[in-house]
Amino acid sequence: MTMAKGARTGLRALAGLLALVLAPAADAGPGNGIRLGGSAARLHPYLELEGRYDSNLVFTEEGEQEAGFILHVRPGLTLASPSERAAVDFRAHLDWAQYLGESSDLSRLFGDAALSVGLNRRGSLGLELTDVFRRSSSTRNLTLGYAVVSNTNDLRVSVPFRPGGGAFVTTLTGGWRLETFEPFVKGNLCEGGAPECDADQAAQLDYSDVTGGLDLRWKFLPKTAAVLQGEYWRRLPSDPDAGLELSGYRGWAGVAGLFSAHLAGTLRGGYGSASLSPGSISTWLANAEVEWIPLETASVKAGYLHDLGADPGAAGAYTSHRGYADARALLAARYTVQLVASYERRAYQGVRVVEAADLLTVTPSVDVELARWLTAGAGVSYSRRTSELAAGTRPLPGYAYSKTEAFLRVRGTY
Amino acid sequence: MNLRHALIGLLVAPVLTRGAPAAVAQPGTPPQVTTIAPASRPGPAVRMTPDAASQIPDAKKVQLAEESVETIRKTVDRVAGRSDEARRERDVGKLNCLNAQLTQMRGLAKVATQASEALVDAVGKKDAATANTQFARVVIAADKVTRMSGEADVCLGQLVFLMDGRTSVEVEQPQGLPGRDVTQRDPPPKPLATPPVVRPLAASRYY
Repeated sequence: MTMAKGARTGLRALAGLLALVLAPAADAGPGNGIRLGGSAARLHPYLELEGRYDSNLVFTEEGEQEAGFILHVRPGLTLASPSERAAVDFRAHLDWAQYLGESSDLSRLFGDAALSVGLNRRGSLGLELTDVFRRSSSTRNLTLGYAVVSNTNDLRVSVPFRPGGGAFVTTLTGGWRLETFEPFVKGNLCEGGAPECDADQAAQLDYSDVTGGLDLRWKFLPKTAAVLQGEYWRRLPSDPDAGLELSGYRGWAGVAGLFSAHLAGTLRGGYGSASLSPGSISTWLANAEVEWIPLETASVKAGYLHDLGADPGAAGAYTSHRGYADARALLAARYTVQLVASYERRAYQGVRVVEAADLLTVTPSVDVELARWLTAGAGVSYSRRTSELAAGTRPLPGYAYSKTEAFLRVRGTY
Repeated sequence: MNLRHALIGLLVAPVLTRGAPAAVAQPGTPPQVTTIAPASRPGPAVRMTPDAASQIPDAKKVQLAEESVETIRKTVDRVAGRSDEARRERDVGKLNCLNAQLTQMRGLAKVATQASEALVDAVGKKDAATANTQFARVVIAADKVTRMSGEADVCLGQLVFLMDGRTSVEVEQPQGLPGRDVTQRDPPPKPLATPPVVRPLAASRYY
């Protein structure tokens, strides 16, 4: 009954969105944005509505899987000020996620913002600064068995040095990533108070990652470069009792760029290590990727990555295998067809809650530019998560699930 | 007919198309017709002939002529500024277009200045016929300069850029296109998981 009510509400929301899509576009001339200060800077406010069906939205008090609908309302803006001396790009939006039906108490405000500043991009010495903030119900952490709200702020600064014509580029980089967590639903999810079941403990998983790196890039052909990269990183948990303090490094060497007129790719190998307390893990690193670019407006990419990393909490560091694919094409200057897929398997070290985790995601979508100011998109996203739990870990639903999401969105841009 | 009636008659006269070539007075030809429509003073256009000019008092003629010459000077300066910007931008097409208008406008400005001076002399000598003719020359020149100013604006391509006259080319790259610097090829970021929300179970249903 509840499901039927939610479905009806969701269908009505989707029908409303569809009606908005099919409505005749007003010829008011929006889409050109607001020109700022007589310069090349242009501001585009926009409003996006998205209706999303989730086949596995919530596990009820009775332990039953329940589907649901979410209506996203996203007011936002983009600002672009291209310049050789100082280029600025900024985009931000708020995202009110209204859960429909019985799950309306899960409604939240999310958001996303990204600032990019580039100074002297054609000079011999430049500066690049990017800061990305994201508040979302999605997380990179695969050691949790329940949903959380993740707040991340990723700050990166790089100083590229391009003497001469820029054939040899030396780049110093530094970064600081902060991630905090909030439980979606408070309370203990299991009997006996196991730590992995206490949603309130999610807030103790907050951490900071600081990184420093050096990137050497020699373009021995105009669009092909030999690369040598090194990076040191350190994990600083906000609560030392809840998370491990980690540090590690990575070293890469290889080539990247165009291999032929329509074939690009990456071939890198390296070595990485992470120090735990106690212990350490070391592993080889590899990144092989090939991209076919038959047209300026179409590309097909597939790749493989073997890397190491660390999830917050006591799970410690992991090694991972990841395969990914990305195909996209712009058709008739209006239709963007895209397929994104990835599969990752992580094998955890250290104090284990999860011994291994797998995540498969496949998302085909299409976007249509109905008018200069109006775009619409639709797609389906399938994801499947499996886990190999350590002995004694409670099998929360978030450790193994699959879900299908279907979405329809409309964006009007001034 | 008093002055007010004469001016009203001039104002309500049909307005000729602005693009129509304004004839120059020649002996033995019918009275020439032109309009007054300074760019800086939008409003009703005025058809001007030497006969019509005779209805305007001399002092008013001198005042209107001086205003027209000033308007011509400002218009020529504005187009000259656009020409300089086109030269700095090295936009040959725009520069040639603007210069073609500017050359004629400067000639007309010279004609108008000379006619305005001759008008003042004629008024001083009480030579009404010469004053009317010179006044009509000033008005004709102002009309032509105004029209050419509009044609010079067309040289700029789009009227939206009239504020600064500079050519602005905007290229909006659709989202989702392949990246341009193909040597910067970092792998995609780590995948994101959106696990289902798990509500605390009823007492007898723990995991």
